Amino acid sequence: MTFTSVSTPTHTIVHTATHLADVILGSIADILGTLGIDATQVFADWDRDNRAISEWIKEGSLTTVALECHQPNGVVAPIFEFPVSYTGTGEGDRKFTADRAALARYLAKLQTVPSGTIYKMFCSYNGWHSSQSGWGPATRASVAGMRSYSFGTLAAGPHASTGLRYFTK
Amino acid sequence: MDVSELVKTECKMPDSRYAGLWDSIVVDISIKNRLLRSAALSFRLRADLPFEVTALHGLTILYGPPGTGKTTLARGLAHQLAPLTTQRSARLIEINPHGLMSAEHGQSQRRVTELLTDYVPSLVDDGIPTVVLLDEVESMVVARSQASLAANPADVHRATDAVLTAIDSNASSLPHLVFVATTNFTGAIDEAFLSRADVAICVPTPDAAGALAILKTTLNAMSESFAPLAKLAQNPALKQVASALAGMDGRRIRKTISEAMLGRIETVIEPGVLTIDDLLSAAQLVKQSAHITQSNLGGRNGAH
Amino acid sequence: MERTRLIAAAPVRSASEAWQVLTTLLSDTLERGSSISTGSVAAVLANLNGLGPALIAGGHLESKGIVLVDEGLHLTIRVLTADAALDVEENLNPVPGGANATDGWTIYFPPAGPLDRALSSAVKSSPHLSTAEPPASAPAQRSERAGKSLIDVDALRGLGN
Repeated sequence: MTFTSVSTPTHTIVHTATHLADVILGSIADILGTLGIDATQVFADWDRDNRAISEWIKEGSLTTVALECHQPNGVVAPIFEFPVSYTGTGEGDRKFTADRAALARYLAKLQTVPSGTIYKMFCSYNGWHSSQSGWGPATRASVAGMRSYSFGTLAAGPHASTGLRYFTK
Repeated sequence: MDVSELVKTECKMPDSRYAGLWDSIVVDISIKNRLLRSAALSFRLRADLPFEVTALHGLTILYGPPGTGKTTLARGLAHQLAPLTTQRSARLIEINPHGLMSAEHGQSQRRVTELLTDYVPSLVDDGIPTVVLLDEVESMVVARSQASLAANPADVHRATDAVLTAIDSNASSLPHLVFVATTNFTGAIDEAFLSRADVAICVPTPDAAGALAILKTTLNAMSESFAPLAKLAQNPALKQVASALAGMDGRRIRKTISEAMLGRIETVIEPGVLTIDDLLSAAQLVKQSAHITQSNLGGRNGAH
Repeated sequence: MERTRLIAAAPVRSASEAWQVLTTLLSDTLERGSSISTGSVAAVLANLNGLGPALIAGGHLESKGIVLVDEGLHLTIRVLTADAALDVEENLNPVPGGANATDGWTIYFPPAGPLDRALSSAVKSSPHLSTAEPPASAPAQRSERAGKSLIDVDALRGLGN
C-alpha cells in the first residue's frame, strides 16, 4: 500500500521576506549604533529601504546587503555583509529565527571607528531585479585583502536565510 | 472569536426600548425595591469608600425558577437607575456566557479574563453607572466541587477562577459597575461566586394575587388591539383562573391567555370574543400539562 | 491595574507596520480622554518615526516593552518577532483607563543597547517621552472623577418607600 502525504506550507515568501528584511535593517541600525556612526538617515529612509529589501527577497533576486563604513581618512572599514540564501520551496518545518543575543555579543567585540565615519548601504543581485525607489546603480568597495569573520546564520525563515560576515583591515 | 462578539447588548439609558420592561414583570414590590436599592447603594458607597470598608463586590444574584422575570428585571434595571444618577444616564451591557464557554479547549480562561478585565472596563471607561447582565450565569461559574472529569475540570476551574478574579478586581477599580447574575440553578454555581454576592434575591413564581395581576396586565395590554379584552380583565371570575395558575411561572401564566384563544376557532379568528370559561378551561389544561411535565422530568430544583 | 498588550511584528507584519499598530493603540487609548486632543499622541510619537521600527526590528521592545503611565493607567506594550510573533493573540482594543487620561501621560522606553544614544536624543523632543525606569504602578487618580458621587441623593429620596 502506498501512502502519500502533501506538505502544505503555511507561510509564504512574503513572511520570510518581511522577517529577513527587518532583521537585516535592524542589525544595520544596531551596528551603526554600536560603532557610534550617525544612523539618522537609516531611520529616515527606513520604510523605503525595508520595502526594497523585502521586495528583492520576495523576488529571490537579492544576494547580499552590504554596509560599508567610510572613515574620514578615506579608509573603507569595517564592511558588513548580509548574504541571503534561498531554500527554494519553503517546505519543511523551518521556523522564523533571529539570533539577536549572539549578534549583541558579537557587536560588543567590534573595533571602534574614528569620529566622523559615515556609512553607505549596497545591495547585490543574482540577475534581474525590480527597480525600487531611492536605489540606483553604485559600486561597492573591494574587500580584497581584508580579514573576514563569519557570524554564521543570523536569521532564517522557511524560504530563505541571512548570515553576517565582517571584514576589517 | 473576538471577545467583543460576546457582548450581546451595550445600550445607554434612558432608552424607550427598555422603558416598559421593569413594569411588565409582576412581582412583589419588595423584590423590585431590593434590586433597585442594592444597585443604587452599591454605586453610592463604592464611589466614596474603599472595598476594604464596604466589602461590596458589586454583584447581585437573581435566582428562581425559569420564567419568573429575572432576566427582564435585570434588563430593565439600568433604565430605572438612569434618573437616579448624577449623570441622568446608565448603561446596560449583556454578556453571552455560553459564547465564552464554547471556546476551544483551554481558551475559556483567557477569554473570560479579556472580556471582564479588559473589554468591558474599556466600554465603561466614561464612568457612566453600568449594569452588566450575566444571564444563566451557571454556565460561567460552574461549581468546581461538582465538575466531573468528563467536563474538562481544569478548563472549568480556570474559567471560574477568572470570573472570580475579575469580580474582585473590578470591585475596587470600577465602583460604577455592578454585575447582575441570573440563574435557575443556584446549586450548580460555584460557592465562591455565591459568597461574593452583595445580595441574592429570590424571584419566586407568582402566588394567586400575582397571577391575577399578570392576567389583568396582559389582557389590558392585548385590549389595545382587541378592545373587548379590557372588560374580560375586570371579570371577577378571573380570580378563579388566577388561583388555578398560582405557582406557575409568569411566562406560563401569560401564555395561558393564548392557550385559551386557540381553544375555539372563533377565538382564533377574533381573539376579542374570548370568555372567562375559555380561560378557566385553559388554566386547567395548563395545570395538568405542567404536572405531567414535572412528573416526566422528575422535577427540577432551581430554587435555593 | 497594570496591563500588558502584545503586538506581532515580523513575520506577521513589518516593523514599520507594527510601529503603526503600536501608535494607533496608544492614540486610541489616550485620546478617549477629554484632555488629550485628537492626533496629539501620534504627533509626539512621530518624533520616533524610523527609530521606532528600528527598535522593533532589533528586538528591543520584545522582553521589556514600552510602558505608558498616567493616573490610573499602567500599560506595557511588548512587540514580538520571529516565531513568538506567530503565537501572539492580539488585543488592539483601547485600553481601559484612557478615558481619564491627563496631559501628564508618559511613555517610557526600555534600554535599547546600541540604539540608546539615538533614543535618548529622540525622547528629548517631548516631555511625554522618557528613557527613565517607569514606575511600578500607575499613580493614583487625582482627577475629577475620584470621589465624585454617582447617585443623586435627591432623586433617590423621590423613590419613597
